[in-house]
Amino acid sequence: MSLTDISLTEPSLFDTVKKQFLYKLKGRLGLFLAMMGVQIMGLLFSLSGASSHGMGDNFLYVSVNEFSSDLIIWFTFFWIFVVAVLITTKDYQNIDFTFVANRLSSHLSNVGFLITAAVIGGVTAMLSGTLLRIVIYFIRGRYMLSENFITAPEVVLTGIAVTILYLLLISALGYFCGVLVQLSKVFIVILPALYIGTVDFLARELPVIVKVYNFIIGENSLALLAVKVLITTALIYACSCVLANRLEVR
Amino acid sequence: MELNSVEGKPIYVQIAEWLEEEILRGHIKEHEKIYSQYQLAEMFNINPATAAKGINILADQGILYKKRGLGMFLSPEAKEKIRDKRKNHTLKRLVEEVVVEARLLGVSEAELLSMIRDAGKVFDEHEGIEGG
Amino acid sequence: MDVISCQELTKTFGRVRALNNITFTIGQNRITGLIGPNGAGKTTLLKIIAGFLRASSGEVRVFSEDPFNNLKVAANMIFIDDQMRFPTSLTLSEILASAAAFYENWDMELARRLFDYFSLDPEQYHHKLSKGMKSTFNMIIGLAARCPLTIFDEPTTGMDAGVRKDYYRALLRDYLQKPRTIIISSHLLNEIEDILEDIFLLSGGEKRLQTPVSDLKEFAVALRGRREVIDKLTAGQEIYYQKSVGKDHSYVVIRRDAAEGLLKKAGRDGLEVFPVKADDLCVYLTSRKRGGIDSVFDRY
Repeated sequence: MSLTDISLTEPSLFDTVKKQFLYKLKGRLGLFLAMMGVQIMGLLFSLSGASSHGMGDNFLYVSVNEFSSDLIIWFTFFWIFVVAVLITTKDYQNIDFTFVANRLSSHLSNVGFLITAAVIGGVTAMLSGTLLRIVIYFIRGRYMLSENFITAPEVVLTGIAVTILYLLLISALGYFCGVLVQLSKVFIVILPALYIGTVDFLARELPVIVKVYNFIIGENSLALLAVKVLITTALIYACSCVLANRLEVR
Repeated sequence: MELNSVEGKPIYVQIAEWLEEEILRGHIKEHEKIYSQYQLAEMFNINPATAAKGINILADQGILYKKRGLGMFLSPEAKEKIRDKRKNHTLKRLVEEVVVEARLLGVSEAELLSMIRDAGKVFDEHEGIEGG
Repeated sequence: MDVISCQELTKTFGRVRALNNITFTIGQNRITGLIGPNGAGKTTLLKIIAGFLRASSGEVRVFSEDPFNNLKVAANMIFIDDQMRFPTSLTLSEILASAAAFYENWDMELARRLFDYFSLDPEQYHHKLSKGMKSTFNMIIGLAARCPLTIFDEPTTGMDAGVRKDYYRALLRDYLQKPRTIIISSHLLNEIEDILEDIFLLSGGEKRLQTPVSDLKEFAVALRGRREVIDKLTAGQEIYYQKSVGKDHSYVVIRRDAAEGLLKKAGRDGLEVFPVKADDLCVYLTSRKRGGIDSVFDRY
């Protein structure tokens, strides 16, 4: 009985996306190792302290060192942006089309992968922050102004949520940039130029981002932020899918 | 038997001739099922459609007959049919070629006959075919 | 059912026309050889059939549907070439397990046995394999996937002769067990000639010929004899190949039916008739100049 006599397989999109997603998780573990490496690097760089100053007179000298786990988070942002761009490149695409795929299933499984990466990145980045505090405590001496040494659980969770949201946004942007580059190499020049050109604009917006990030804003804003980010992210991914739908592969 | 893809004869003709030899040597009996196209394909490392073409040549000449759903079987008068055909065509042509070559080399008929006898002796020693 | 059907298919890359107005069909469960010189457009044609590239104009139908962006076609088709890519962090056995999840008809037993036969190490990584081993591994995936449409694009690059023989033998035996539609593209016809049913000759982006292999051999015939005789005989005929032999003899290849007619009328006149090897014939039918490379060196 020939193989064509047996009725042809008709796979559903959902099935294919699921299979591709699992395949990608298995095959891209290395990227998560890189994430850990990047976060450890961030942690090590943070040990030297964000700022320090000292003052004193003849009898007493006080030196103050400030530490921040922001660096770890920025490194994680950078990591996910690179990953998002990377997975739009030819070699990664070819992996999809070596087996069963169409462009939509390839994008949807990539989105699933990036969402997973954002969640994992957000959790580990915040936990690295906690780790940083512990390391500093042991390395830099016990004399710490420590009202808030043990961060309240709600703060940690909020921090994780916010980080995840920003990672989602950044990964969507990275994916979009990657897709643009695949469409036309000219974007390799245009996009960085655009970024540098608007750095002014970003500098003005930065205080807002910093404020949100410092958890001064309460829960309400978190919900609003989540809605804003999720909608924007979905829109960006939708654009990427549409733009890349006619790309030729392999 | 090695198939010769390089030589002039198409593969399916070589298959048909090999089957004829098997029949002449008595390896296949009357009304016995002959090799299927898939078996021949596997034996000679060829596409089954090519093997089928060879089988069909013999079927067209009445040497084989088809039993629906079961395959190809050897016709009762197959051996005689093959003998006649090959004597009057293949052997005749080979003989003509031998004669042409002998004339070209100036080999006499007597010499040619003795060469034939010698070749016959060598063959009988090594193989020997049943049936006269 | 025709598994593949193309109508006036054209593909251009910028200003280059890779495929020009190609029309053909490929029927079920046959092994077709796609033969042609390098640059003929074989890979382009196969990738359009596979749905990787888009046709510039014309129609392509695989399993009666447009193959571009088509999950149904993708799930029932596998494309084997040396550009197959796998995640670098997966071992060969992990890749096999992943493949099994994607293909309904996957035969793990066959894959394992071929693995052992070719001495592949299941714990090895794909990017660490030699070129020949990669091709072998890709072939194993191609066969074990048991897809109704299986496409091989120059699959034996880097393989030594012994492995190539085994490869084609494995292909034939698996095809005999589980017939499917197979297309093999190669520029080495003599290696695969015996296992092909049909041959599709492509050259300069155009379809030159599509015919059963057994008919190809009978398509043309070679004549050799004195040059004047040949020239007179073949005046006005389409000549596929011609070269001079010795001082005043000539060797020419023309259609068999034409030759038979001409010889009947004019008689043999010392001409010898030869068969033409299939791969030589393909070269003649797709070559640039009538005299082949010798025409560069001949001075007559």
